[in-house]
Amino acid sequence: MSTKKKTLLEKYDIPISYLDFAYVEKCTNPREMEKIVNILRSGEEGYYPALTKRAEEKLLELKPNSKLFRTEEDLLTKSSISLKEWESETNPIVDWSSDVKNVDKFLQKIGSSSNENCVETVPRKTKKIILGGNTTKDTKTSDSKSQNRIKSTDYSAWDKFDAETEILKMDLEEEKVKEEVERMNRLNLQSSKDLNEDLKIDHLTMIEREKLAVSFKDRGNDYFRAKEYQHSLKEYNKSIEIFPTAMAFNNRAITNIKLKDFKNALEDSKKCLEREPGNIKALFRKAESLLGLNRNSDAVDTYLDIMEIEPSNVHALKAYNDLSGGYSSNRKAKGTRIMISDGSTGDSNESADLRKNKDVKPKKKVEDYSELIKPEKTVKNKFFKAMENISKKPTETPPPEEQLNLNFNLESSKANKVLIEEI
Amino acid sequence: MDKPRMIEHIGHAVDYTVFDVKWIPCSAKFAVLGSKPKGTGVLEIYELNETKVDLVKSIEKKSSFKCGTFGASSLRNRFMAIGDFDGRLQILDLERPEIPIFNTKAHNGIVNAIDGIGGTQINCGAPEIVTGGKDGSVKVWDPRQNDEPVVDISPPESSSSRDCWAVTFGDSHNNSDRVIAAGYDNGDLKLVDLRKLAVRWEKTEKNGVCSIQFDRKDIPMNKMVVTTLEGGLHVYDMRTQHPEKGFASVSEKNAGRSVGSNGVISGPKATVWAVKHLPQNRDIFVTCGGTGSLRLWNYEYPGKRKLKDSDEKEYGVAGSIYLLNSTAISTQPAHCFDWNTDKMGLGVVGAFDQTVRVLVTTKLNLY
Repeated sequence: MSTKKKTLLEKYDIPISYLDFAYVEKCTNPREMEKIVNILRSGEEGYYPALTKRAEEKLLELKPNSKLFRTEEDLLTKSSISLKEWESETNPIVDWSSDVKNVDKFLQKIGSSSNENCVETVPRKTKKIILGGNTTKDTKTSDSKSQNRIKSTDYSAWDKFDAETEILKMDLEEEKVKEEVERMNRLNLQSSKDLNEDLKIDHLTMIEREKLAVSFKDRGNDYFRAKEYQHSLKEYNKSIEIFPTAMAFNNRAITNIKLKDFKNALEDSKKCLEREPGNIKALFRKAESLLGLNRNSDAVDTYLDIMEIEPSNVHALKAYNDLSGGYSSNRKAKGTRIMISDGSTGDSNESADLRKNKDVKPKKKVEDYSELIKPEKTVKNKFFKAMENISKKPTETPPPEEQLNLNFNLESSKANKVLIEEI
Repeated sequence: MDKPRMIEHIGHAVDYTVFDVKWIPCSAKFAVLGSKPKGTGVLEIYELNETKVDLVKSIEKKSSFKCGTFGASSLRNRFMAIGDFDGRLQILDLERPEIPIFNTKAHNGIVNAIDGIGGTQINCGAPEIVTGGKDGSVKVWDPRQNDEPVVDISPPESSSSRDCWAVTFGDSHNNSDRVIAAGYDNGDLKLVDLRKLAVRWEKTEKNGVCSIQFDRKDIPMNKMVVTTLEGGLHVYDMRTQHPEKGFASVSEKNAGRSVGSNGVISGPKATVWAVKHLPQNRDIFVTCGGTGSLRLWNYEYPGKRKLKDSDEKEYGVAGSIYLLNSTAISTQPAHCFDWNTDKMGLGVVGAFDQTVRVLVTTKLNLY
């Protein structure tokens, strides 16, 4: 028995020649790279800071979520973060805790005043389950086996034994188990509460309904994240039935869009906007459902609405540019509205400019802007060329490129999250 | 930084051993259950006021409190069901705690685990409480029926019984369906169908099961997380059961250990004491480790959640779990945690250093 502990090199079966810059550079196997990093970090073969660093960098390339990069953080306390950060994180909690106290008091009051028991369900009948050594099923089969086992010398019994039927029996047994499991799986797939749709909520107060609606909405969000849109639609329906909120409508709108039910999506986004005018996400969903219904000009109007609220919204700008190339907006007729936005929002240069330009020569201008928002692309030449093409004196210079790109980057980092954040 | 981080909002030292912490639903208050050095049980209610916690109420009873739940109580009657070291199950009205509403001798020995269901949810069956005891039995109680359990799941009398360490409800999506998952000290894991009153599935983990939780109790089974001694963490996909292989799972070793300073794991194998899913997002959960660290995980579903094998039998496919954050909160094991259902990211954690901490986890809304 060798008591000597194996070195990591032996344990991983890695030749020592691999601990080398040249090998680390050309290694493409993330598992092997992890092992190399592990050996280097352990210091068993010596301490090579530069090589370790390089190996770690390489591993980060090969496998960014490797367990070796896990680090433990210290618990942040008031003294370890800036006051500003501390306040931004804890103030919502403080606000919430004072808000929730009213709810708490209200619930206490109705709790002590009402004594009714609103549960209609009956207690189940008393049952006792004795657990076998193994499964209940397993114990049964093993028991019957031991009782029915035919002795090898008992020839008369063997004569009666029909192997075919026994096999058939076993097959049937197996089939039964399989069917049972399949039935369970099927049941599991069925959405919750398909059978009893009527919700008995009459006895609940508004606060209780609100909480219940939120829990249904959260469940809808869960299903949405798992991309099970039919289920999430059902949960949102219930949430709205119990206590309609802007957020539930908004979430149902995106679910309907995913299910390609644009008509209902439009209705939902409108209802959300009734409750929360100026909700950017709802506006986006409205536009998207309008597009789905082939009402492109209305969609263009909606994108313009978004840009009125958030002039620098790149998604709206892009969608607008993509669309308005082919379709003329009837917004042109509503000149007054444009005027208002020009006057009121002084710093909304982009959207205001855009609309101004659109009135002059929509198609060309629009093309330029769509080019502008693409990052890492020099549009200057093209822009001026386009300017020359339309033989218009270049009075307005385009917005500084860097700034636009910066905006774009900022937005695009959020872009991926929009779908998730929406809920 | 887009990753969640944990901030200690308030730390509060107490003069007893903490066993369980629970937020009182729809309030800024939480209850702490524990044991005084002389062996009496203590229940304290704290309220968040600005940046501190104030003791609202303190109740002392003759036996140490082990575990509690609000799961079977409605919002207007927020009664707490508590299991203690004497094996008693009590339901206390926190306004009038002197006389319990419900009081019964549930187990011989400690009530190790408790879970409640049916209080606030609609159409998901009767309010019920399940307890798991040192005597190895799992009992389901109806708060309206004081004398005996409605379901009693016991080991056969002859055999040496196992210690039941964890119980939880799940699959309660209508008035009749409901399951219990129970974990034992020898690693046994049993899924009992309360409709058919039979064991539906069982498995043996390598180590004793410390904590089990379904991602949601009141939906058709979706996921279940099981934590064990020596750092085991298993996430089961509960959608699809294969007749032989059961449920698919993804596992993580050493989930209870601390991560060393530069990623090299050091120290002994540590228990994963508890798992709690975020109420606002069922795919995020926190585990409490024996080295005093909290880990925040995110589960990602696979492309296809079920496939068919060569015999045309369906089997589930497990997803993958990613560590979002690991934070050391104490030098002693952190063993109980509760998320606030009303405020995302707000949690309370109890550790064996006799301190209760209110934590704020940031940026959870990005997932």
